[in-house]
Amino acid sequence: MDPNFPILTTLIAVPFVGAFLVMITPERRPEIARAIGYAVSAAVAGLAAWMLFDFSTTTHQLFQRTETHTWIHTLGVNYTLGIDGISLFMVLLTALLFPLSLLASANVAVRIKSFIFWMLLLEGALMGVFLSLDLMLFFIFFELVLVPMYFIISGWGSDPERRVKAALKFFVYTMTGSAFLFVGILAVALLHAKDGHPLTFDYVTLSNWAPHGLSRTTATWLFITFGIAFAVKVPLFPLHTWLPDAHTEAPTAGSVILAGVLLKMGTYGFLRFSLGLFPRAAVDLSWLLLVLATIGIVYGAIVAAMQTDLKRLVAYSSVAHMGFVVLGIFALNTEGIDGALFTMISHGLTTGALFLLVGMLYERRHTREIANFRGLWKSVPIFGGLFLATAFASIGLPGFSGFIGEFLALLGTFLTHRPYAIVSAVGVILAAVYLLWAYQRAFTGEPDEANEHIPDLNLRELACVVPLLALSLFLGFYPKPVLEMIQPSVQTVVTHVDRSSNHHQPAIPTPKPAAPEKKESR
Amino acid sequence: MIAAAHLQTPGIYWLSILPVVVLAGSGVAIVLTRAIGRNSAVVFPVSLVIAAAGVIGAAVLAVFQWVDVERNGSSGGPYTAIAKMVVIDRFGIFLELVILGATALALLLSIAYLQRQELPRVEYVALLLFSASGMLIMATANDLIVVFLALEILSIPLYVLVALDRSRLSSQEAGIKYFVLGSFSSAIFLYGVALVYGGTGTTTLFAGGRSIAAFLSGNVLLDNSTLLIGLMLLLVGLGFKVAAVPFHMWTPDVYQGAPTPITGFMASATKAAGFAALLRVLYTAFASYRVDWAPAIWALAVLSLLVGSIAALLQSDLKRMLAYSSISHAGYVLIGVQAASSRGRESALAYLLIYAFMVIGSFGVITVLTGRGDDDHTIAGYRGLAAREPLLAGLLTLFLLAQAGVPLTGGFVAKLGVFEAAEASNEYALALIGMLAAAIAAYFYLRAVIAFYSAPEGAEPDAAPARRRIRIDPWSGFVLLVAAAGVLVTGFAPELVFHFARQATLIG
Repeated sequence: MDPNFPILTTLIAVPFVGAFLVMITPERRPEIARAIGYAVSAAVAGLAAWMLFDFSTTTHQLFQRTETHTWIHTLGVNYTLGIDGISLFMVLLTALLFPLSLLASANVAVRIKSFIFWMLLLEGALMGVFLSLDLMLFFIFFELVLVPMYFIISGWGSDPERRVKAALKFFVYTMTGSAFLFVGILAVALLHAKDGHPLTFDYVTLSNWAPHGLSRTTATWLFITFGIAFAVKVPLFPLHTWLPDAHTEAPTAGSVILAGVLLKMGTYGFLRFSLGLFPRAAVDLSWLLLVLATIGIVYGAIVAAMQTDLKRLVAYSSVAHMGFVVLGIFALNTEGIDGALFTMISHGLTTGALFLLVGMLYERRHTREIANFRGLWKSVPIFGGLFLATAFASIGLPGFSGFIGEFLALLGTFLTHRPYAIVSAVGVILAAVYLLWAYQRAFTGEPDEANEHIPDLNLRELACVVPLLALSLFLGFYPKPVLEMIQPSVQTVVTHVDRSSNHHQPAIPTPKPAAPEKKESR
Repeated sequence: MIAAAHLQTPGIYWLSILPVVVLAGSGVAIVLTRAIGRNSAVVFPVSLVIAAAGVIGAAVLAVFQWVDVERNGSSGGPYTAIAKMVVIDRFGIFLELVILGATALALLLSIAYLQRQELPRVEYVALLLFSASGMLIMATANDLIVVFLALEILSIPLYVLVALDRSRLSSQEAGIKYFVLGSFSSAIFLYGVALVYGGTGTTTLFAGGRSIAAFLSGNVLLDNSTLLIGLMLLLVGLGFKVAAVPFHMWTPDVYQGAPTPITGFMASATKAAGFAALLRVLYTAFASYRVDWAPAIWALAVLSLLVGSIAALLQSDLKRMLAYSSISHAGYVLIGVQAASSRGRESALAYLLIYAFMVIGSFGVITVLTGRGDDDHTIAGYRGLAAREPLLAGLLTLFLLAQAGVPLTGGFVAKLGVFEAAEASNEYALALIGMLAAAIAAYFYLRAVIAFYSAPEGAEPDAAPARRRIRIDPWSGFVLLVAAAGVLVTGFAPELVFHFARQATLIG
């Protein structure tokens, strides 16, 4: 690939251009909009895959393929993009989930044109979030994501009354969080400017300055402002209350993207910006985040077990899974952050697949109440088998990607903050409880009248789910390529935190992630 | 003391007031045309042509002033003229252009509307021009007396315009309300002028020699209570015009009752004129009194933000909701004013410009949507708009989202500017309150937007006739196009706005 080709801009621009094209298609020809949707999201996936092979793990650059253009000179905002091992996989996840969720939305019957339009806009904005290296640009995309998601939930959700409320709750909740982030971003940049530097929102410049340029108190306050915004997005207990409503009411594609990608904006923000700009405050306040993450893991799992709505159950399981990610990040060592990143990828694959499956079930039965299902294994064996496999993947059964991620995250936490790791490990068991229990209720036994004659998965539906499951399986057996690619970036973050605080990694050799099948299963 | 026998008249540098002369002159010409032409059918088209000539002429002259100001004057910069009554600086010219732009858009928007509502059309145009010329005077006034004159010139035609729709009771009510409260606030302003004169011995804002600014920087007042009370009364009078809480009581009723294009005109141009005077008084004359006025502006800003956005949540009428939202927008501009820095001035100017696009766009769509009557603007009545009028619903959505501050629209950039200014002046709390108010505001904008995209309630009796598509007349279409382009262009290329806002410096 031509090293000067602005592939990152292309990744952002292609969905936006696609959205524009969709906008100008005639309302009466939804199939054109649909075709554009497939083509554009597939093209983005292709571009992202191309970038994966072009990604270098040996370079000494912090960020690869950086692009910088002056944008709002007066306000110090620049258009700066770049990619490293952390953002690479977020981009790939986004690029993978969009074509699949569009494919899964083939049954969307109303206002197809607008639906595709918002989906493509959402994809472009998400790409922007993960690729921006300018704080204000990041914020702009971070906020922009809300708009299409809001319209997707409120326009195509399942229940016409509740979806509007859920969408509003989602928007206002996250926007309130963003208010703090916005003030924080401006404060960092302006304090930097008052220190005698030119006004800039450039992440690399600021992360070199902030750890020593800010006083400890200021940094703590700013860490909190950033933290609130990201904690709402993750979501961390007790700021998670928007999530069950939004996930449950959203259409399938919305849920997949919401769980698969949007939640990662929060943990990505923690990893990139909170640790990068305020490493010392992150060390000082890591106890708080570890506590909240641990509560989230256990609480999310227990509440998930209590749900009667299958989709709500999956939604709450996200709270638990994302707890592991935060736990791993604030273990503040290589294992933990490796694990956190890996869990982010894995959660995107498995929860995405779960939401797809729940959506397919809803299309057949028009209900999501677990009590209404019985003996599905007998009536739809392929679906039953896939659902079981996906449930195992989500639980984190060895051999699936979930295991690697959660294991590493727990390992990292165990090294530095033992009690949290011990409590959180319970969450792994609880995950098995809620998913398998639900599976048992819905899939085993003899099917009754309503559940007996429903069609099994068709090819299109298989094509949506199988790639995700296969990837999860592949990464579960062979995580090495991913770990190798994220390793340099993770190492940079950890060194950055170590160097700017009195925190140091425990002096043990970094264990090489062993192949999972050699480990004892829990 | 001036001897009557030897009355000295100041020299007049005509260019300094030419835009006002042209605009007011076109108003006079229209009134004359009406008197001569009586009820002839050509009077209205002719008056429109005259109005167009007036607005365009004034704008061209303002642009000429913009270029000229850096070359003219003794020092090649901003200068005062006509016995220091008028000041020509790029700050004033910038706002003159904003006001003229808003006037032009409001006029274009009114053409079809006037026809539909059967309002007195020719008088309407003339009154609009008179009001706008008052605003131009306000933007360049360098003397508190002139500010007062401008206040009256812009207000009195507005009182009439608001009450112009005699078929609607709400319009009458709004007119009376605006008139009574407006006169009251003018009186308070005038009393403030008197007290400031008592405190400083002059009403000139800024000039070499004798002026408030020079007096305050050259003297330390042992007892400045008269001056401070005067300053606060000035703030009351101007706060009324920009609709800042707690001087906002008139806004919801007047915005709701006034003919919709007039509402758009008031929200954009009147606000710009009010802020022109407010910024000029605070930034030039009372620059050395920043410690005294900054807390007052802080309180005004916070109250406007919170009251505006929270009260808007409770509204069931779209125009009324937008009235409260315009109160909260005044709060954002006040955040910029409060920063008391060049960044603050810049951001307030940029905000006023961008807000003009957003608000004229919003009221423009509402104007196009009004059938005969202009009465029913309940949000419930807008349900299902997207199904009937996809284009108009899309545009209104764009304008409302822009007002909510969604990125890549002008609304976001405008907010970015004022918050950056606030934080650069260490007003972190103010910025945070502003952002939280924006989150509250997002709720009511979205509530309105979602109404457009949801099905109309049950079997609405008037659903069937409303189903026929509205033909957008070319003039209104043009206004909506300009407003939408303005919102988007300022969102994607904000440097265009900020480049000029940065150059728009005050005298001194």
